[in-house]
Amino acid sequence: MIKAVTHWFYGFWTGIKATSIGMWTTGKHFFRQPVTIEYPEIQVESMLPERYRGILHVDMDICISCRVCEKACPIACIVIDDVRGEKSSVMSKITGKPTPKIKYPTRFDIDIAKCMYCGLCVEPCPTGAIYHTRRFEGTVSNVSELTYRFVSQEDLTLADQMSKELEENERKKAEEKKKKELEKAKSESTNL
Amino acid sequence: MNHLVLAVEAWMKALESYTMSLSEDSIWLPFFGILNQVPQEVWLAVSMFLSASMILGMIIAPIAGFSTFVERRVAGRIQARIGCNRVGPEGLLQFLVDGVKLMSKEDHIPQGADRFLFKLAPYFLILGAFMSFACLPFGKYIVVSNINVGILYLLAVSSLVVIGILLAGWSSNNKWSLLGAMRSAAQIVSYEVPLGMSLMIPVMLVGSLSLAHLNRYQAEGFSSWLIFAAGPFTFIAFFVYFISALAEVNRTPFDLPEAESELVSGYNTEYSGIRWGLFFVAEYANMFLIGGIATTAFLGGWQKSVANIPFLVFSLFFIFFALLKIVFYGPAFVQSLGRKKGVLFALAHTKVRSFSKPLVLVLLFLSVLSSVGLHVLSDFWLVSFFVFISKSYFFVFIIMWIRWTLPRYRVDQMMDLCWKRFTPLMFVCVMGTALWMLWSQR
Repeated sequence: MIKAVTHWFYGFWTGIKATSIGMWTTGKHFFRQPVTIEYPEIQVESMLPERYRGILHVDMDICISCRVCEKACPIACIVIDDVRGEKSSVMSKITGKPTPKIKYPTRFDIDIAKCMYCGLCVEPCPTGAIYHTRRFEGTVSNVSELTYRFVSQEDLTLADQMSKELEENERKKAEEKKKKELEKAKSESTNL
Repeated sequence: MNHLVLAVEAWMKALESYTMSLSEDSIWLPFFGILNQVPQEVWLAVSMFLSASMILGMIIAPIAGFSTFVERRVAGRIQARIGCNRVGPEGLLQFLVDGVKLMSKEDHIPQGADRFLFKLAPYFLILGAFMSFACLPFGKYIVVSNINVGILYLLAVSSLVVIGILLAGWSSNNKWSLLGAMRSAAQIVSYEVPLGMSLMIPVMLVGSLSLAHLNRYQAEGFSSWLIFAAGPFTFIAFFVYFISALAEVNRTPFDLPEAESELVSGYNTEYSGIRWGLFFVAEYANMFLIGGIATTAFLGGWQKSVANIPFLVFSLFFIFFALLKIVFYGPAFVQSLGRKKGVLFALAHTKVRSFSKPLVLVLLFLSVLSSVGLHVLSDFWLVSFFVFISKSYFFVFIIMWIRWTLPRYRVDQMMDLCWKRFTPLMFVCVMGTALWMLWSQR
């Protein structure tokens, strides 16, 4: 009997205690600043983490057109066409050493609408030319505008010119080689 | 009442002179002839009805609307976010937008529903809430009807809510609605017992059911407040009243009827548009009513008292805060109008910078000063009205605070609290108060 009565009163005590603990916890929040960031009015790009995977960007100056990113992409949203050009070297962002470049891209398209931001293209890149920016606002009025073309018209004409010159040179070289061979063959035949 | 009679007489005289001025062949002549034959008593009744409903509509609708805004802001702050701050200065116009939205939505009635009862149900709730306001003493001279059975009337009228909820649930032809409604009915009927008993204690002490008499009893300041009138018994009764009233209006932690994890939304699942809105107007009006009755029956009503000052500081601080925001809002709004993207864009994108700490402290100091001033002036009718509103709103705030803190009770726990704890406790309190009265008389 006494036990039941004490239990009854104890119930009130636990109720009051539990309620006041809860109210104290939430009451403290009235004196706390909200954590909300009012996004479109406050720019959040600088607040994003360092390794945030935003929209892809390619630094065409150091791209050596090796096509590893194209092969790594699991949904094939990267398309690369290239031509051979004169041999040069670019500074790799990753190793910090000059990397040989013999091919020049004439087309480097990334379909951002397809891209799933997995970062698999970034990892194998030998020069660090392709990388994720912190930009995430990709709204456009037409989906086709989301296909980013990284090769500019100047680079394209330059690459074309370079490849033509190279072909010309190679043709000349080949002709000279042929001539030489012919001459060599002739002289050999006369010697005999 | 005298003013009303005079106004009605003037109206009838004007009507008569207008009828005389009409030409013989006017088509309006028979109409005005009938109007002239209406006796004075009918006009008096009509004018009383109109003025009463106008006062009620002008007080309740803003109170309920504003409460929704306050609720959202309180919820936001408790969850470490901001809450609505887009429409107007600090989101103050949000409730107007919500109202317009609800009114313009489709008013859908389910196929199997009992159409008549389905349409009728929200009005029962609204009626219960609005009729309770009719006898609440808002301030000196500000009471719609000062009836001598005030508390009894309040208890009777607020029970209309049960009928409304049960009708809503039953007529929706939806098992969740019906379950919610049944739960709600069980809950409200159960909690009526401790609620009535806790309100009986002030009635015993004062010796009258009239809310005006309850108010007058507490006129001598803080020490005469009914919460302290009979030692621990009235003190306990106040808290039991508050908690039972929470259960009465189905607020958390007693919101079993609309337990969204079990019953979708309870009795108002099938409602949409403004009919759904009416449920919420009733709920928020009832929340204010809890505060109003607690203030009148236990905490001195609008009577002058030093203990009103904390309540006044509380409400004045937020009023000053909002006023300053509105003052800063004007130029900012004009500036964002200058971006030439339309009024709606400007409305949504105008923002006032948050205030610095010194400014907030200055506002607090100002509100303390002016609340002391208001305390001195509280015999003036408008100030007494403000005192009542701020005290009631303090309780509305507490109810919101509770809502965003405590989890929901289980059905058996709720019934346990009512029948095993509050009801015996209130029996003890009523007996104790009676003994206290005997003892103090001697």
